[in-house]
Amino acid sequence: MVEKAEKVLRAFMTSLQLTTLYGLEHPKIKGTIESCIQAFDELWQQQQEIVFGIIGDEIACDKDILFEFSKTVQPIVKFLKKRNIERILFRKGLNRDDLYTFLELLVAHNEKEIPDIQKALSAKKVQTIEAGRISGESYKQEVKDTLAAMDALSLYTKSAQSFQRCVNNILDTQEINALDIRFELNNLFESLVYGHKDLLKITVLKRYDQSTFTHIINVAILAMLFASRLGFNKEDILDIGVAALFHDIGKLGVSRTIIRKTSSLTNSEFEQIKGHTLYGAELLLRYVDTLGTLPVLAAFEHHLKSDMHGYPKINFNKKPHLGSVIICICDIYDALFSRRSYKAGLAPNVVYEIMMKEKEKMFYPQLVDTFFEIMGVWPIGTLVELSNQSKAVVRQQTKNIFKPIVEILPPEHTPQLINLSEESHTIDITRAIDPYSEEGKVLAQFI
Amino acid sequence: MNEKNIMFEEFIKAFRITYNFILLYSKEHKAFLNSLEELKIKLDSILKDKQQIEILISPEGVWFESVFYSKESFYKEVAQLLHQRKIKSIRFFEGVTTDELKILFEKLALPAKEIIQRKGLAIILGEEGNLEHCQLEDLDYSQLLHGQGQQIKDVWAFFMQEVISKEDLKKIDEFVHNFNSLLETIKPSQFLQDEQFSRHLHTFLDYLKKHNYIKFKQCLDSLLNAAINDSQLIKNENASRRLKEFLIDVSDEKFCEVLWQRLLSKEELELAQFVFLTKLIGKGTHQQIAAFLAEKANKENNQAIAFMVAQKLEKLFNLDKNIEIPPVYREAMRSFLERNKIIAEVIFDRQAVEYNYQLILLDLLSFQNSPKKAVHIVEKILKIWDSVLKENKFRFILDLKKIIEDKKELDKGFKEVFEELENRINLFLDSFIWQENPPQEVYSYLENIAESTASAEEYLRKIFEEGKVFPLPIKIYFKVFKNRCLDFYEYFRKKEEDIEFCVRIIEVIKNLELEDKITIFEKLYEVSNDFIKAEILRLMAQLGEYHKEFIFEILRNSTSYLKKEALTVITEQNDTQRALDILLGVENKWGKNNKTIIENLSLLAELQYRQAIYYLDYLEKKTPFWNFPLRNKIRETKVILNG
Ligand SMILES: [Fe+2]
Repeated sequence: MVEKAEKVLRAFMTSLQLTTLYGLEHPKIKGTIESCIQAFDELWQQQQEIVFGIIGDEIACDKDILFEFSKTVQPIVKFLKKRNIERILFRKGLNRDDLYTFLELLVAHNEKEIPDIQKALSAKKVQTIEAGRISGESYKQEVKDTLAAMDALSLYTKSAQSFQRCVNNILDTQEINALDIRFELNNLFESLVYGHKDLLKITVLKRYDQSTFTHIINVAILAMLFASRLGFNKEDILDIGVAALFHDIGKLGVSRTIIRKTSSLTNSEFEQIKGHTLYGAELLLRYVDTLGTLPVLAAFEHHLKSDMHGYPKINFNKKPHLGSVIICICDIYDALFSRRSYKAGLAPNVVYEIMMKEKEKMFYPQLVDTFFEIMGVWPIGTLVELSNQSKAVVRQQTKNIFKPIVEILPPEHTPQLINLSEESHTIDITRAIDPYSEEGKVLAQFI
Repeated sequence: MNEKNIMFEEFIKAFRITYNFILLYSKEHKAFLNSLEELKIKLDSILKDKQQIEILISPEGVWFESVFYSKESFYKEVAQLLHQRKIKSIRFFEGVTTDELKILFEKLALPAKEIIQRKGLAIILGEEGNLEHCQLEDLDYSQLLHGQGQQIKDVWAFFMQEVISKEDLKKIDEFVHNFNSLLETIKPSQFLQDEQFSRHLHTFLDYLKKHNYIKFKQCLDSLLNAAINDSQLIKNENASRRLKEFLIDVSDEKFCEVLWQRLLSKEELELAQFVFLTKLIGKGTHQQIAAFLAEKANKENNQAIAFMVAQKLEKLFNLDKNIEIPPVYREAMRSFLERNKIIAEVIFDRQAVEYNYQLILLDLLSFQNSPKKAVHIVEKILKIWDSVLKENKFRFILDLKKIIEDKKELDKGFKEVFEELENRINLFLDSFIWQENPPQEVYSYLENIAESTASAEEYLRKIFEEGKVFPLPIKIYFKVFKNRCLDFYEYFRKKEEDIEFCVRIIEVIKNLELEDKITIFEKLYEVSNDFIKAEILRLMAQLGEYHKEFIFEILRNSTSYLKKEALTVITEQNDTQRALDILLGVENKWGKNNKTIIENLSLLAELQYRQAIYYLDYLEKKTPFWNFPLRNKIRETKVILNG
């Protein structure tokens, strides 16, 4: 029984994944829906309906909890939970149209609010599917947990973990599931769209984290946000996200002691560092079939400079792809902020100045300007001190990249939003406050 | 009044009497039973030529066969009695019995409150079981959400009348609230084509406009919002014209707001929608809407949102130029768009991804010095091979070939790694040898190759039998198959008869950059007939290159036809001297070689070979007086050459 249920569920999950990534029109979808219907038909020979529930991170089917199976479909579980779906019921009589409708509803974008899938199903007269929250007291706690788990931080952390697994697999030349990665990125991207402020705030906080993976995820998040603001379509944005995740994978082949070295590097050490672009590109070459070619480009091209001072020294590929440049900008930006390696984290205005100098050597230098027009000089979530000595946190960007909208923090003032770009305000931001410093710790709770 | 109307009137009258009797008396009272019989007769006469009839109930009157009966008070009375009992319609079928009618009236007589508590008359009657020929349909608000098509439109039409007539504020509120859900269920394009429904909607909105302007506005807004999402409507000129009649009172602000909301939403604003909206707006106000919109855009503080809006607008303005968006919009948004301009070259170029990928493969390969590690790069190159070929990426292939050669020199281990790849490269490149006009890049590569995948025989066959007399294969042949030149001459000899063909070959050779072209010409000369021989000499003359001895030999021993051509080949003065010596300085004791010399003199005259003049003076002096045939000929020739 459980086996058939799993088969049905797996087929459905695959359809959902593909629909999310490619849309219902895509030729791939038809096949998966067919196999989905087939799996259901087999099931209907034994039973009239089947109910799946999501409890915590597990998927339950009737009384069984499909522990093993749940592990493999975590991104989709998250996806469903985000849509307030903890329970799906399929009834005998389910047909292709119903399934299409359901998938369509699940992947439909709605920026403002979480759609009520059940209501929409009823409105569309789909009677063979029910989907919604689990009701009943016993589940209440789980639901609460679930919602708590859905905050941006946990999304971030979980994504970081699964990317880490994936990177490890690549280093071991193991197989990876590209669909999962894309799906995971899709979740991140949707969070960016729905509430990008939350996720951006976390990237600010996470910069103080020592782990390599936070940097990688930060770069992916920034690159996807950047790409979406440049008007790229979702397919391209996800491609850039994937490429961003792996662009520095070659560094994992360079000795940690060299990467962390604070004194100046010897020639041979520097050559080793430079080698990470080639090593990364060769590594990713093995995954072209699953990840596409853009990750190879990003790994190879992200240190190329227009003044020929970049690396590797190339013979043939003279100009990096725009996608690589986007990743390069986000990489430099996040790295300047971070405390990794020999550089201490820099204040945002210093980062801005450095990048403005750096841009002359870059391909598409205007892109750096565009980047700051989107991100502002003081990123959302930055703790700052203002010229009137009060402390504040950046909440929103304005047209003036130096003057965002900030929230003044207690105890000095009651919380209020101030648009520094309005002419009536003569207040400036004077410095950023490290949220992990003594003074920052107190304020960090307000971020 | 026609017969049908009269029959219906009679029936309704009877219906009202029966209804009154059941309300006044008990169900077994004679008066009721009699009226019931009477009603049955009237009903039967209506049903006589129909299988069934349906009467629709509204609070003001009843609908029967598309006619609204409300003038006479009895219509109204019946309608109100039934309406109070939440009845939407009654249907009678042929074969209805008095007993069935009796049950119907019994239940109709129940207090309205009880009927509602028991969830409607239709259900109550249903419990009776055998009312086969008489059916009721209850009014049900929930139908508004679940009903479909014609049915729900009818209900709504009815409601619109009802709420107005009742002037019940609460009802109106409810209705306006439900208006949105109506629009979710029936699209404007569906009901706008329904005359009757449109009429009711007009009446209703007019009423609202007079009595509750705020609600009126709300309904218009809903209608506008529904309309813009209705792709059918947008396409339908007629329906959108009708819609415009409804939306006359929509303010500029509202139009602007709808446009702005569309720009803000994640969904695309399609050109058709924009145009549709601008069509709904009266012509005079485009200016204002555009100004409103610009103001909104300029006020937008969130940079990210401003970017997105700018992108959408740019996309719109740059789309199909055939569909006009009034230029005022672009004008008004100019400064906003300018400020939020996205750099033009910033597009995600898929082709460039593939292009860079190919070049990176080359770079990676050129960096890779370990044959073992190069294997999987080679694998990837083989994988994209077809697309490289399809796009004729010569540069790529030639660069690749160069890398391969360098690598093989570096490490013998590479030989095996590149075997497959090299085969493919050579096969591909060699295929260009037999094209008449190969691309320049390939030509310059191929003309320098040191070996070929094809054999000498294949070359000869293709050149001489298939007639592929192209520079490239001929050049390659003479370079790559140096020791097989004799075969080439032999093939040429066999073709001797085909003068045109042979001339083509030598002409191609003449234009080739080959080290010892002249030797090739000489060898070909040996195997040719006189005509081709002359042609070869002519080409030598054009080239200005020759081997002296070869030419002198011709001057000594050939026909004057060839001598003439040979003479024109000579360019060096010393050689001319020597040539004249050969032609004229022949040993001529006792005039024994007069004939040859005279012949040669004619040849010089014919050629107008003026370089010979001084030699003729010398020859004349040398010639004894008695040899006047020769002296005459010399003088004659001098005249010709001087003239
Ligand atoms: Fe790097």
